This record gives sequence, C-alpha cells and structure tokens, in this order.
Amino acid sequence: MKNRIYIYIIAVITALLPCSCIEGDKFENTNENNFDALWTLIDQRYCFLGYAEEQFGLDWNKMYHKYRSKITEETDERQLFSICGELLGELRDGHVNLTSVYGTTYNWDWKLQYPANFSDSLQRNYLGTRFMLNNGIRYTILGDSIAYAYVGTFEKGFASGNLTAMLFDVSSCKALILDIRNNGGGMLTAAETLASHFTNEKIKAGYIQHKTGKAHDAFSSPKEIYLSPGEGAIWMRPVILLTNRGVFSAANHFVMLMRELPHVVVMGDKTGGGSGMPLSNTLPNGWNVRFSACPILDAEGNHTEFGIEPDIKVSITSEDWNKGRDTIIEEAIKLAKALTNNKEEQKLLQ
Amino acid sequence: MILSAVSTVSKAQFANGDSINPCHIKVSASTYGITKLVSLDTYLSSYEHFGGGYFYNHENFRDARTGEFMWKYQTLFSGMAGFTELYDSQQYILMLNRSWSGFHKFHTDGKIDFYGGAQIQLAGGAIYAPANSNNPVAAKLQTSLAATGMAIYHIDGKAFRIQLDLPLIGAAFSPGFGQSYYEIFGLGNYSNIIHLTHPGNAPSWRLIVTYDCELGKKRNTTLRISFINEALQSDINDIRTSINSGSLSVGFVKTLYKIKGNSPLKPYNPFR
Repeated sequence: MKNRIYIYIIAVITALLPCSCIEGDKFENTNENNFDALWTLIDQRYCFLGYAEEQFGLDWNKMYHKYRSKITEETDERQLFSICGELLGELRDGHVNLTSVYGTTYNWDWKLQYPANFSDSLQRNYLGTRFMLNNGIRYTILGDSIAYAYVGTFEKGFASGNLTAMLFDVSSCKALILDIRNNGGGMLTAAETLASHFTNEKIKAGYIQHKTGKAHDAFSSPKEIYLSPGEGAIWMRPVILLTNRGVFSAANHFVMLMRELPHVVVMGDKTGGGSGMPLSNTLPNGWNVRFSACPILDAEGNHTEFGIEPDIKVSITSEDWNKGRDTIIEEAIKLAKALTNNKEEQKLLQ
Repeated sequence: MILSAVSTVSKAQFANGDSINPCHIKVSASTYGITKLVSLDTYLSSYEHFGGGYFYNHENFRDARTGEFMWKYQTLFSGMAGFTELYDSQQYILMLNRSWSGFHKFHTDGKIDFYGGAQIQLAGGAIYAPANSNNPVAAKLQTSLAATGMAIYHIDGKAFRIQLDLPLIGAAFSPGFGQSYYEIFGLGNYSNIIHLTHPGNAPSWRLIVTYDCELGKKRNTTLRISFINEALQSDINDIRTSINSGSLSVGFVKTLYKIKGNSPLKPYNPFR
C-alpha cells in the first residue's frame, strides 16, 4: 500500500513538471506578428524613446499605426523587411539596425546629412606616404614639433605597450593633433585604453544607465564611468582632437572622455553621436534587431546621443579643398603653435 | 546518430576482505549520449530556440555512515554542449552541472526501495548567440539547495531507478533587464546581479531515469541506459531563461566488488 502511495506521489510530481515551464514570447511567424514583435521590442527595450520624443517629437504609438497599415495580405517578406527598416529609421539612431538575408537596414542621417569634413586625399598631404604605423594608428611629425596621429577605428583593442612606443616616437613634439574623423566606433574599452594615456589622475568622465523594466522611463541609477591613467607613457602636452560627423559610438565615447581633460581641445565638426550601448534581440522569424539599450551620459549627466559640439568649430572650406589643404588640420596646427608658444594660453589650458 | 559508449568496467578488485570498509564501497557510471534541447534567454532572444547536442554524465554512488546512521552519498557531474536555432537565429549552449547528494532509505519492501534526501547543486555555462553584436553571450551561474527523492526497483540482476531533484532555494547570476556585461565587468557595477532563487522565480528540476542490467555469462559487466530531463529555468529582472534538455545516454557501470568472509565473489549492488 505504501509503495503505491509513493509511486503515485512521484508520478504526480513528474507529471506536473512541464506545467512550470518558463516560456518565451508567443508570436507566430506571420508578417503582422513580426512587425508587432519589432514594435514591441523597441517599445520595451530601446532606451531613447523618451529622449527622442523630447528632442524631435517622436510619437512611437503613431509610428505603429503609420507603418502597420502598410502591411497587407500581399506584402511579401522582402517588403516587410523594408517597412520594418523604415519604422526603425524613425528613431534616427545609427545603432538601430535590422539584419536578415535581405541585408541590414541603416539610418545614415546622423552622418550623411552633413558635410564630410574629411578627405583621405587631403589627409595624405599631411600624413605623407612614409608615416609610422603602430597598433592601427598612423602617425607622423608635421614639423614645428607638432605630431599628427590618425585613429580610424576602435574595432581592435589597443595595447598600452604599443601606445607607449608611439608616444615615445613623438616625445620630441610639443603638441599632438589627434585625428579621429570618420572613426565609426568599435569597442568602448579600446576608446578608454587610448584615452587613459592622456590623463595622470583618475577623473569622473561620465555615467552609464540601463533599462530596469519595460516602461519608457524605467532606468537604473547612473553608474559613474571613471578615466584612470594607463600603463606606460602619459601624454600631458596639448592635444587637439579633430572630429566630424563621422565620429560615432565608441569614438563619440572617446570624445566624451577626452574633453574632460584640461589639455585637450576638440576641434572640427560636431560628432555623430551614438551614445547608447547597443544590445540585440530577434524577431519570431529569426531576424536580428540591434538597438540602443544603455544610455551613456557625460560628466554633467547630459545625453550625447545626437553628438558632441567641438570647442572650436571648423569646416573644410572649398577654397582650401581646391588648394589641397585640410582646413581643420591647418587650424589645428595654428592652435598647436599658439598653445605651445603662448604662455598665457598654456596657463589657461592648465 | 550513433550513441557512443565507453566502457569503464574494471576488473574485480581483489583485496583482503576484512580490510574493506563497507562505507567506502562505491559505484561509478559514465554515460554518453545525445540530447534534445530547447533554449530560451530573453536577454538574447525573446523566443525559444530548438536543437540538440551531446551529453555526458558521471555518477558516483556509495554507502556512508555517520555514527549509527546509514546513508547513501551521490555525486553527479554532467556536461552538455548543444546547438539550437530559430530560422536564421542560432545559439550555442554549453552547460556544466555538479551536485552532491545525501540519501536515506525510508521505505523498502525488498523489491522497491524509496530514498529521500538533500542535494547541493552548482550549475554554470553560457549561451552564445553569434548574431548578437554587443551581447553575444548570456552567462549562467546558479547554485541551489534541492530536495531529492529516488525510487529503485530491483528484479533479477536489473535495477530500474527514477530520481527527481527539485531546487528549493539558492542564488543565481542575472544581469539587469537591459544591462550590458560591459557595465558589470568593465565598470565593476556588481550590484543587483546575484539573486535569491526559489521555485517561484526559478522553477528548475532534474529527472533521472536509469536502467542497469548485468551482461555476460559471469554477469560482471553492467550496462546503463539513462534518460535525464533537466530544466534550468529562471525569471529574474524580467529576463526569462530556460535550458530544457532531454538526454538519452548509454554507458557502463564500474563496480567495486565486496568480498567478505568465505562467501564467493559477487557483484556489489550499491542500490541495496
């Protein structure tokens, strides 16, 4: 008798196990459901909906009706991909993409709606053909004891040993022009490693938050981001940091860190922004969605999602362009000379 | 699929019968097999992915005695590597699980033995979603205190066992709802990432069914066929996770033989 009772208990518990299964979202793989899943994903997880509403009046509910009505029974998968891409484009965020076999959707407005303010043909006139290359950084000495270094990407990490070697190579120079124009980003840690070679003390350089729930305003309390001195050489002479609209994501983060340093002047055009650290998720049909999830704020607690203004705004003029001169580099050289020659300006920097 | 099985049969270990302490006699079994997998981690994807993989399980089981109290001590180690997908979305899964259990036989009628006890579980692993650019991995780390029960049916050199482990309380790692691993490990924001778990927010279980039968004329080889259904689940910080596997595996049982007095050599059955 006892045996039966125990066996029944085991059987009942075992039979009940599947009832406690934790399940995923339930959206069937139809065009309508995939659109709804995408809209819901952004509604619950995208971190800049409130900020976008404040900045340019984005009404996410309106967007649902605007684009959902474009989906009909005749809509094929390729058309659905385009409609979803248009929906995501409304966010005006380069970190928001949809990827499938049909490609990847992008909104390039943050970069392509503005002057390029960078030309590698013009840059060649300064960098020459016998520049040095270390850890992906191209650099040379321009004359007048001014060094020029170009960092085109943060997609690969930097080694402190390499950065130290580079800084030793240009240690005879009085100022460094650090050009990150058209740097579309990469790894935040790469940006932080490079920036760490320009400070000799730990400073608070910004904050990061993350969403704690599905509501538009559900955010964690800001967590400080500190910039600490790197290992090896630290450059404490004047730095002129050149930016344009192509400076995005981790490169925008680099500018946010560097502009907190007293010996750094940011020159050129406003950066492209992209301050939201992205995460990814999927739709019921397996398409991959990337979206900004964790807003990074500057040291004053302001968003830099739509870019960082330079300290000195300079654009490449047509006149200089025709003469093969890069106006921004020319102005940087002038400023570097002024900073290294003028003691009062040096004091101001300090 | 070919089920791989590796023999771990040892030859009978002869020793001075009087020197063998019954408390140190043990049985170990290694089984290898295949698993059917359902993976879910809404940090990576809001939808279940389906697939399969390979499975390994190793069990040690021995008698133990604390004073006059006789009990059984079991350790389990299992490893699983698998692949799941949902259309073009793919996930790779690696999970390791270690547990330590103590059982007490609370009822027997000679054919069926019933055991109850407690278990400490430690599970860790990761789900890797290559399409996710900034959050390609969801790490798993969970420890728990579980209630465990076992019923063993013996008939003519065969043993049929069913064991159920139900975690009751523990702790698990989970990032915040939209938190990046960069914030946790890069910036050192470790607050609110370890959570108390209980059946309400982490209804996990492990169901083990094994069938042992002796082979050969001398009946000195024991084959084990096992089915293990394991669900490691949680719903923490609005992140739902579930790795649900059903594994079928085959292997052999390695037995230490009990020699006592003048009795002939005979297989030692640890489940007795």
